[in-house]
Amino acid sequence: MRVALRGVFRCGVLLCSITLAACGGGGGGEAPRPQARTVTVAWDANRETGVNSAGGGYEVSITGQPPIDVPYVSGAAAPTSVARFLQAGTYLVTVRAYAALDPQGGTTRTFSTPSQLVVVVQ
Amino acid sequence: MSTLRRLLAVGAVFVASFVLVEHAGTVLSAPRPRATPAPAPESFVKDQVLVKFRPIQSEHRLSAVAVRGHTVLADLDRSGWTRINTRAGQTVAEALASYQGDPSVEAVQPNYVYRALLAPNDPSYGQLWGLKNIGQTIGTGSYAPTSGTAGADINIENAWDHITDCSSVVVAVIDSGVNYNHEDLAGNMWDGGPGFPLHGTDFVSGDDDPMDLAGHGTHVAATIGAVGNNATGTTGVCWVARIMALRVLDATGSGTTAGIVQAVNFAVSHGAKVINMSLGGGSFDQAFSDALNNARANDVVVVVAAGNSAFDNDLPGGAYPCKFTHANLICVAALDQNFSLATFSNYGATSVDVGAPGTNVLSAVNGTWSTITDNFNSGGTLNWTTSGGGWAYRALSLGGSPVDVLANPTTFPSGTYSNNANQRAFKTFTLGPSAATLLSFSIQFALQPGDFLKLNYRSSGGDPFAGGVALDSVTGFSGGLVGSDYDISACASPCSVGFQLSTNASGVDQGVGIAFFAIDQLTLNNTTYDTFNGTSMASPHVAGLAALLRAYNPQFTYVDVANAIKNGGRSVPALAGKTTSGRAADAMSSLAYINAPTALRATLQ
Amino acid sequence: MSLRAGWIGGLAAVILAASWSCGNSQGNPEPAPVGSKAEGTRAPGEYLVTLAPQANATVIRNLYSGFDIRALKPLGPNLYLMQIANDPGPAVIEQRAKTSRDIKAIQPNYTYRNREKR
Repeated sequence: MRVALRGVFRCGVLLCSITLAACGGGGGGEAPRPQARTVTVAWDANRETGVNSAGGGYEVSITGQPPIDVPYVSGAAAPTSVARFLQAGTYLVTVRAYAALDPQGGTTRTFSTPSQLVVVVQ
Repeated sequence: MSTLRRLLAVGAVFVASFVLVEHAGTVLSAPRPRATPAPAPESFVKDQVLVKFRPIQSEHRLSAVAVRGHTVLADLDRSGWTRINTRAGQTVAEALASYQGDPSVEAVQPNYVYRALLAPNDPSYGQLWGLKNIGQTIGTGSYAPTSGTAGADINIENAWDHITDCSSVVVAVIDSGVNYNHEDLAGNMWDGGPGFPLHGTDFVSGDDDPMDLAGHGTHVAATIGAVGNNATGTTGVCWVARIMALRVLDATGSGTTAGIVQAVNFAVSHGAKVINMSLGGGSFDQAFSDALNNARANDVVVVVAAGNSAFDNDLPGGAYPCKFTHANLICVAALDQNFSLATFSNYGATSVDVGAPGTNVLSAVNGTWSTITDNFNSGGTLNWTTSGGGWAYRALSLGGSPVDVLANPTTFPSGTYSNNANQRAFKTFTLGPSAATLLSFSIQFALQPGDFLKLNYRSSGGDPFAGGVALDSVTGFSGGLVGSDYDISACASPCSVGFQLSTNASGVDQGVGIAFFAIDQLTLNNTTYDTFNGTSMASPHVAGLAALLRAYNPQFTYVDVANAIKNGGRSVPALAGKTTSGRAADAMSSLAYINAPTALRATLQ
Repeated sequence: MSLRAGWIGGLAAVILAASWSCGNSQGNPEPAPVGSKAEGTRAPGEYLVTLAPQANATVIRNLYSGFDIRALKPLGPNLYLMQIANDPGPAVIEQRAKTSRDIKAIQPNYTYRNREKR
C-alpha cells in the first residue's frame, strides 16, 4: 500500500492539528483501511540549563497512554523526541519541559506550560 | 522548602498513606510500614532509601535488604534508621514499594536532600532589604517606610543556592562612571586589557577613565555586583561579576544622546550581554533607538529605570528610554519595603515591565562630599559684591518656612526689574582640593524676550563677568522654583561665582530669585557606602538578575531572559495594571521559569 | 558624610518634585529650560547627523558652514556630533537637512539625567 504524507505541521504553542493520511492504492471508490503507525513526536530543545542537566527533561503525554518521561541522561541536552506505535485514531500530544528547580527554593521539579499537537492516525 | 515545611509535608503524607492503606482492605497482624510516594527527583538521593526496621536480629535485617538486591550503607546513630543503597536501575519509588508488606519494616522513606540557604558574610548584608527582607529597619533610610514586610524582596537567597557567579556575563553600567577602586567593586570590574586598563571608558571627557565623579554609577554598579561574601561592605545580586564602566553622565548626573549612543555601541562591540541604564529623558530619540536596535541584533539585554515623576509613562510625555518598545528592553519601576509602588515611581501598563526594590537601597559610592552653603546675607544685609544695582538679599517665605533669597529686583517677587540693566552679583569662595566641585541652587525667574540671567565663574577670584567662564544663560519663565547644578571643578580657588541680569530696552517682568546656594566638593575614597532612592536603584536589581540568568543558562537569548524575568516574577497587587507583567522581580522564580517546548511536530512511519 | 545633599532641604525636594511633575504632567506646557543640562531638553547648538552610506563629513560642513561649525566629531559609522556656535533651532536645522540626499537623519543632541530620587 502506498503511503503519502500530506504534510508535517509544526506548532510551538497552544493547539495545532494535522491529518496524517495514507492514500490507498487500487481502483476508485475503495475506502482506506485504518492502519496503526509508528509516530515520532519531536520538538526543539529548550535552552534552560535545568532542562538539559540532571533532574531535567521532558514529559510527553499521548491520549490513552501513560505519561512518557524523557529525562536528561548525559551529554549536551535532554532527548527531544519519542516514538510510539499508535493504532488508528486521533491523539492529543502534550509536551512539557521540566527542571529540578523550585521557585520556593530547593530542587522540586517545575514544569513548563505545555505545547500541544493533535495527531490523527489513519 | 524549609526544613520545618518539608517535615510537615512528609508527615502529612505519612498520615495519608496510613489511612489509605487501612481503607484498602486486608487487616494485617502488624501495621504496614509507612511509605511515601516518590517526590520529585533530585530532592532526594536517587539511589538510596532510609528504612526503619523493627527490633530484629541484625542478620535478619541484612537478609531483608539483600533479598531485594540492596546493600546496607550505614546505620543512622540510635534512630533505628538504616541507610540503604538500592538496586541498579531501580527507581526510589520502586525501592520504597518493595518494602511494602514486610513485617520487619516499620517505615521507609527517601533520603531527602537538604540545602542551607546561602547568605553572604558581608557585614552590611542585613541592611539590604531588597535582597533579604526580614522587616528590618534601614537606619540610613530617608524614604518612609524604613521598615517593611518580611519576604518582600527579590528572593535571591534561594537563587544563590544555585549560582552566585555571574562573571561569564559582562554587564555594562552606562552611567556616571564607577569608582573601580572601591573596596567592594575592585575585584568585580571588567578587564578591558591594555586598550581599556581602567575597566571601561569615558564618553564625557573623552579620555579612557570612567572614574565616577557623581556617585550614582558606583551605587548602581555595586547593587549589580559588589563582591559578595568577602566580609566587606555589601553584596551585589551577583557575588562575582564583570562590570564594564561606561561614563556618559557628568558630575552633575547629566549626559546627552551622543555619549549614550557611543556607550551602547561600545558595550555591544566589547562583549557586554547586559546593559543597565539608570537614566532618562523626555523625548523620542531616534539615535538612541538605533543604538538599542544594535544591542538587540547582538542579543544584548538592556535594563532601564522607569523614572521618578510618579507619571504614567504610557501617556505622551513619558520618559525614555523606558518608553521605547524594543523587545530586548526591560523597564523597571521602584518598590518600597512593603512592595508597594514607591510614591515617586513612574509606571505604565504597556511601557514599564516589572518592579524591584528602589527605596532605601544601601550600596557603595565614590567618596564623601563636603558642602559650602551661602545664605547671601550678614545680619540681613546682602554680603555679595554687586555692580549696577538691582540685587538684594530678601528673607522670603516658602510654604510657611523662611528662605534666604538672592533677588533682583530688590522687591522680588513683587515689582519688576529695570530695562537696559547690566547688574551683577558675585562672591568668592575658598575651595579645598577635590576630585569634583559642583555648584547648585534653586531658582525662580520670569524674564521677557531679550532679557537674560547669566551664570559665570572665575578662577582666582574677581568679577566672573570680566574674563570668567560662562556656565549658563536663561530667559523666559521657570514656572516655579527649580533646581540647577553645574560642574565648576575647573574653577581654581579662590573661586568667584556670579549672576548677571542683562536686559534690553523693552519689556520687564518679575525678575529672579535664587535660593539654597551650595558648593559641594568630592573627596574620592574606596570605603564609603550610602543609601539612595529611585528607579535608578531598582533597575540594577533586575540587571543583576539578568546577568545571573544568562550565567546560569549560557544558551539563553535576550528573549529568554526577558521572558524569565517578566513571567517568572512574583505577582504584586501594587503593580497590577501599572506594569506589563504585574510582577516584581523574583530571582529564584525566574531561575525556575521553564519555557514551553517549541516546534512540536509529528512524523509518521 | 552623606552625599552632597547640603542644599537639598525638604523644601527643595518638594519644590524639585513639583517642578519635575510640572514638566511631565499631561497638558502642561514644558518648563522653560533651566540650565543647558535640564532633562528633556537638548544641548544647545548640538545635533546628531546620520549620513547616507556614500557620504562623508564634507557634506555636513558644506551644508551648515553658515552656522559656524565649532566641531564635528565622529560617533560611529556614518554618525557625527555637530556643534555649532549660531544655533537657529532644530526646525531650521532639520529643514536644511532635507535639501541633501546625503543626510539620512538629523536630530538634536538630547539631554538625560540619572534616576536617583532626591
